[in-house]
Amino acid sequence: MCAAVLALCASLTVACDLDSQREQQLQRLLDAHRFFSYRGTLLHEQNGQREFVTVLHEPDESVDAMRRLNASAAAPMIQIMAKPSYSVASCTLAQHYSVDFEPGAAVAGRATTAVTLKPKDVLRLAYLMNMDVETGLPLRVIAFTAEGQILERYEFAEIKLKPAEQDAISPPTDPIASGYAFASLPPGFVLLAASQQDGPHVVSDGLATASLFVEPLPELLSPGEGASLSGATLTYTRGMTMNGVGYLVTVIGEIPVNTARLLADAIRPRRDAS
Amino acid sequence: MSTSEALRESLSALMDGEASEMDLARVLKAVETDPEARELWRRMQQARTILRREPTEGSAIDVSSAVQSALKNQRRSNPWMGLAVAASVTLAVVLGGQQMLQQETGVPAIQVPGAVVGFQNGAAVQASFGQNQRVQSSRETSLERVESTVNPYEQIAREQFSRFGQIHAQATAPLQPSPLVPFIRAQEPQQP
Repeated sequence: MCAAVLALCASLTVACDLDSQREQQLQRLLDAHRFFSYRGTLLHEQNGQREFVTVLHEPDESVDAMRRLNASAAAPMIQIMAKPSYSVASCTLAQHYSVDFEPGAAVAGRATTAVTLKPKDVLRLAYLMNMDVETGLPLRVIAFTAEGQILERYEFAEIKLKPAEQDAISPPTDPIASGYAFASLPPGFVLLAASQQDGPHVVSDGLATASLFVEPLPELLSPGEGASLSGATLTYTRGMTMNGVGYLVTVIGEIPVNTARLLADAIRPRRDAS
Repeated sequence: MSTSEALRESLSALMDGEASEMDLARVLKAVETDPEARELWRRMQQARTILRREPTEGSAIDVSSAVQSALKNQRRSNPWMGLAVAASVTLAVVLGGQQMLQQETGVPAIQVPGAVVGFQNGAAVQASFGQNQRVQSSRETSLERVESTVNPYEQIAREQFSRFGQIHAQATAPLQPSPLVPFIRAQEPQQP
């Protein structure tokens, strides 16, 4: 099962930073989306904007759907092409986040435990989650910068949950040879999928994720960099030259800008690709 | 109408300062991805220069006029316009940079190490790795005024989020404790 996410799974064997009770609690939080179906309405806030969204998640049927209630009166329920969900070991995550639990406020009329995930370095965001006591599902999530600035917040207003048949743990696609490869990765991040055709390289530390795209640099656009932040999602672009060839590298992820820079720094054309 | 005919008409409209948002989007896509489109633009530029006997650099001002016009006429209620304005700024960079290199009299290119990366929320970060290269001229054209106020890579970042946001959501959602949230993020909220 761990074949494709060896680096994430390998840490199963290393000493865990969590005692067994917290390890189990965090694991429930990470696994809940695989074991429970739900339908509910959540409030999503970012960039000073808020919208209500009806969401449907049925992992045993591989069905996910959503409806933006503020988009228009006739906005349809949109089905999303869901891939099988998976999760990492809580001890893996605990290598890079300090994890604390305490009793939390009720969310959507349900009792919760407040979980604080504080990064141990500056390469990831911080999270405050309220996990459902009964199922472990996160019912309220707030994403912060390391400086405490709120980037994104979402919270269920109402939710109906039921156990799902356990879906098969289906790890992501094995990394395959592509035209580009990372010379190194920021600490804690592993490659989940390598670029296939026009698809991205995907990296994760088990919670934070980022996708990296490589394209030809538009002709005569000078090297440079820029970024745009939408809620918790950073888009970082860099024009650069490698071996005399111009590349436009784009990193999209729920990560700080310096993590995106490290990823862009590390991407290389493979010598054997051409 | 074939694609190349449509592109040719869009390029003509652009050079005449009459480009619609659709024209700008079409040209931008073409010049970014299609070397033949860039070559077509160069040929049309040369032909026009000969016909009108204008100095080559004159057309750069025409292009940027179209861009500035698009920026001035931005309407939030028109979802196409946001794309077109973003596209047109990139276009100004792509085509404008080309125009600068075509100038026979050398324009000094100055390396500015440690570019400042701006964000939508107003925060700024000093770049530690990337370098931003700007071209400066003793004579300020309208194109350079556009460039001086907009870091093209910020515009490109916004465009790339629109292009790739859904792909990022697809790729990363299965690992998220809330697998639907990446898809909610992927679409920019509507402007009020």
